[in-house]
Amino acid sequence: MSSRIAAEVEPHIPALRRYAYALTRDAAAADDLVQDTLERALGRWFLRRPDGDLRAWMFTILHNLYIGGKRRDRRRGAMDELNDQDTPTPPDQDGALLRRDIVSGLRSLSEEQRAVLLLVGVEGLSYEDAGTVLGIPLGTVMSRLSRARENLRRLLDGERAPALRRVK
Amino acid sequence: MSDPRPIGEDDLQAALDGRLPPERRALVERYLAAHSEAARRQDAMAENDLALREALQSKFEEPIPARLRVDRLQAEIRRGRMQMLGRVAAVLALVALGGGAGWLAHGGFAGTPDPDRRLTADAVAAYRTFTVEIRHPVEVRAEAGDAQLSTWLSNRLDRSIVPPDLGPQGFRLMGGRVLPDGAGRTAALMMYDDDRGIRLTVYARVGMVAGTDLRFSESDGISTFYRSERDLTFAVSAQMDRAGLLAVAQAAALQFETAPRDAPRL
Repeated sequence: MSSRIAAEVEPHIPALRRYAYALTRDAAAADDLVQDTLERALGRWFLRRPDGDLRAWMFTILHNLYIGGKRRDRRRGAMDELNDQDTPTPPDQDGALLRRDIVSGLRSLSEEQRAVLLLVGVEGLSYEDAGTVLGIPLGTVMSRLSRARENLRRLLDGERAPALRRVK
Repeated sequence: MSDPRPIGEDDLQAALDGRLPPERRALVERYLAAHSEAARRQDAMAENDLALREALQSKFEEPIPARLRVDRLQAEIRRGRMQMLGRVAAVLALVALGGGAGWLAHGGFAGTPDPDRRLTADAVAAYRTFTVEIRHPVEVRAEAGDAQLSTWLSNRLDRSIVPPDLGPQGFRLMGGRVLPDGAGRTAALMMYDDDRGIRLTVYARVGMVAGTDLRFSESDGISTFYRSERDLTFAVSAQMDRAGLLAVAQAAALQFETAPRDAPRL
């Protein structure tokens, strides 16, 4: 019985780890997040909708745990909040981040924009599923996605993202 | 037939994601052909998406850590649930440090129900957590001839709690603290040490374990003797061998047996 559940759940683990890693940029923290997600999902296995999309359900759990964790950190006044939130990473001296630095370029995006870009652009979720995971309507998915891609493009073009101007 | 709605950002995004119906896609392509700056931005965004996927691909392809295996996690969840069931019975345990194997010969584990295991697990967990504390081993320090600790614990457990005097066995009372007992009530932990710096705890909570013997349990080098006395169960724990702990446990047991039952009212 358990191996049937394993056969359903485990194929999603690589994608969950990738998403968690892109959010946290910390391999151990990402796997902690995935483990929490799996424990939560398995502990509430009877609560999933049999006809529902298992992948979207697990991403939803992971995302909520991540946001919940951020909230706890904020209450604790975590010092790394500055690095994690909307503070952009300045471009290299010559004005452009290298392509291989695109993951750190993600840091210049807001948490909300980063999540939607990863879910749609990397994980290949439909807009509807991304909206379900993030708990936002379709129109919001589209506008956040558009802003996320535009901000990232400007950053990598060596232009100043709007967030950077705001800081100055 | 053709869609009269103007090009929107959502069209451009959907084009990047390959989620545009054919007639809108044709519209977007015509638009980009006529607007080179928009087309350049569109290409850059597509490139970024690709770069992002490539950058994260190695994480996707990594073998998953063993700790994320579903079978393993399920086994842990099942174990956790069994422990929760075991908590249903509230128990008070005494873990004693002392000697005297004879006591144990007939004590045994035969038919030991879950409450016993729960009790000893909680008592040992409390021992492990607090005896390693250097600066704050106890919440309330015991002062010689002062009943404050006893009064406080009794009020919190709503039952008379008199920390046993283990002086004859070489242990001085350091103080105590209260803990959740796992069944929604309050447990007491009293800590003692001796001249060699060995620490010993007496854990007490309302509830019963079966039987009237002083029972023994051992977990990772920590010995525990426990017994119920009326509605109170106590457990004496220390990192000592069974024989060494027994005398202490017997002394504590005797004092719990003869202690007044009602909590003093303030």
